[in-house]
Amino acid sequence: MSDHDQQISKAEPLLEIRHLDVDYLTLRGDLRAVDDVSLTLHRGEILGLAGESGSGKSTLITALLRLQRPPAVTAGGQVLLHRSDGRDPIDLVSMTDKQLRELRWTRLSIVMQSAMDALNPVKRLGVQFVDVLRSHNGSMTKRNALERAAELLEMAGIPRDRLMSYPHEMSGGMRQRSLIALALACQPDVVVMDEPTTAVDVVMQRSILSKVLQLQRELGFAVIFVTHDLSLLLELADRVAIMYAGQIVELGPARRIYSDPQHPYSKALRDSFPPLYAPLQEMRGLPGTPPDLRHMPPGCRFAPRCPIVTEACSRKEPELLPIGDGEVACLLRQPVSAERKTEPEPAPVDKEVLA
Amino acid sequence: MTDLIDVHDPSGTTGDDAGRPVLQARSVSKHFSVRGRAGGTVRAVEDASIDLYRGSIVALVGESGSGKTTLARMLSLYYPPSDGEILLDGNPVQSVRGRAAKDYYGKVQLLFQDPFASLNALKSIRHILGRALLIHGRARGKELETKIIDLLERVNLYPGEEYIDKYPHELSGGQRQRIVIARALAVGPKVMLGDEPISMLDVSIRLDVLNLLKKLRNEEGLALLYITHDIASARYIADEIKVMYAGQMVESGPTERVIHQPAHPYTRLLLDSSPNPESSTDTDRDALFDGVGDLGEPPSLITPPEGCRFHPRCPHAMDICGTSQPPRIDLADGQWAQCWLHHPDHSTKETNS
Repeated sequence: MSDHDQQISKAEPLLEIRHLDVDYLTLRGDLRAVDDVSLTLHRGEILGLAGESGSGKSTLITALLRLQRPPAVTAGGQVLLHRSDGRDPIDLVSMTDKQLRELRWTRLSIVMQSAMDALNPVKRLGVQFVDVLRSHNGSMTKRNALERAAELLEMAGIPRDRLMSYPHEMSGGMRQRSLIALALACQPDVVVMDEPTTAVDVVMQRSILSKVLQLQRELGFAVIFVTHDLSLLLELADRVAIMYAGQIVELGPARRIYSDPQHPYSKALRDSFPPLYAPLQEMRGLPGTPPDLRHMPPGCRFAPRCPIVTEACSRKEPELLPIGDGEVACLLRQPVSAERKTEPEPAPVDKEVLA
Repeated sequence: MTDLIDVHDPSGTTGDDAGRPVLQARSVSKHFSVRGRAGGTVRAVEDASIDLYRGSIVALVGESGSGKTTLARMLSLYYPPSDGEILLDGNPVQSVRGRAAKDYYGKVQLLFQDPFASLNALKSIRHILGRALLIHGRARGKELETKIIDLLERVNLYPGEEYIDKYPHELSGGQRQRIVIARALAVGPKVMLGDEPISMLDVSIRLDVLNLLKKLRNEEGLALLYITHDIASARYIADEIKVMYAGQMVESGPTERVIHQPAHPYTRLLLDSSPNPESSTDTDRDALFDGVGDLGEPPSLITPPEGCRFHPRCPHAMDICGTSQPPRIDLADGQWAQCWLHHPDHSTKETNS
């Protein structure tokens, strides 16, 4: 735990998604739900991922954790997990299930949206912690594992006597917090949180997130936080990536995305939330619906809904290019003679792990 | 046929309706008995009152389990109150069936949360809207199609001809919720009860549905109850906000007053917990979440706390809060709160800071 503290450096890449494509195989042809997504998560960082339903955010995270099931398949790209000892990174996409099992919980973990579905309803909470702890540390005695489970629960603000409770005996907020404690049981570096607070109300949400931030500071793990609630991400995340129709359209520091969004879709999403205190004015939603993956519009995928669309937008697909302190995929924000990004060579991968 | 008003004409009500609520709940309570080992009585709603006026939106805000939906169900006669009464146009209504039910639902309509579950997937839009018109005798024969198209366009689905023969699965979530609203409008109601009508919709289309509800209030004089846990959206559309906690109404008042000068510590907690990116641009993130600690959870409604039900979580709790139920204390501009802090004998602290 303590060695984490010294190693946190926000510039050090921890998880690198490179040109990831995810397809859904259907009888009427393949649908590309995640299209050429590249994204880097740094050590100790909270990276927010926002977008409407169908934008591909859940497809992306299940693919990067290799949790997807057919008909979803990863069609291309790499997900590189860096190691703190300086050896070459591991490519999660090409690992076998057995190799992945070594990494699950200990390096990667996930907090699901619905705690009731993620916890086993017929096992006491303590047993579920012991299962996880002992399967990754065979030498741990049951007694030690229970003791560790109690510590983890207390860390998440749950009294230790809850070890003997079944999930249905706890409130929704408590279940969600115990799921977070479980995800942290083996001290992973990367915790993916998929809408972890959508099922609880605002007060519980605030209290859970303050706990997550506190633990994150103590333990130094990095978080990918997925939600449709951009207003929440703007408060919580260091950087925010906005997804639309399977692609990342903007990436940047959370505060800047709020104060000065560069992509018209980011702006529209930001302006979809009525203000809590600022003077009220008539607001407009974003007209239209996200495109059908089967009939993707030519050029920019957002063009049919874009309030500042130009004639060129339906001809040329914008690339995600670095602008200022972030990246934007919008023709209007790109230098006229935008140079094509050089395709990076596939990263060297530790062959030993793959062998 | 009773005196169904024509919803196109905001002046369609008779003169004596002016100033009288269309739909009222007067001191209603709802208790559910629980069987089994943990048996007892769930006091889901206690002594709640609400008045819905023509051309006005009341928002009911609170955490899950605060009794918002139970109150709406009593207003829609889904189940009868254990105590208190519901009044439509000033006349008490009991649970109704047959003819009386048709009359009641001709005036009071519900909007459901999930537009994916509340439309029959096997029927076309023509059937779904036509059926409501036919059953309530609002159209027959050739005029049916014109009326359906008119309904579609009133909920901003232009051109109506384009949508009339579609099926629910061909529509997006936002479009479906418009169909749900159009179906409610088909009977020419005076009141709509919306139970979280936007919470299942994508964020980018929520505003459009809220704007549509505002339009129906402004142009057609509809009375609307808007139930939500999202206080920012309540502020956006409502004229009045009522806050519920653990089955009781703890605060009520004009929207801007409740938002900017919340009188009840629970309202304050709700506001402080709501995401507010405006503040994060000038405050440190850690400061936003630090010191939040454990904000507690709502109490059991089988054995609610003595005195004020919020006192175990209240940062301002005084001795009296744990022993006696606070009375309703009227403040300025029609705002009131059930809180001892505002009682002349106890108001030592200022919460409106």
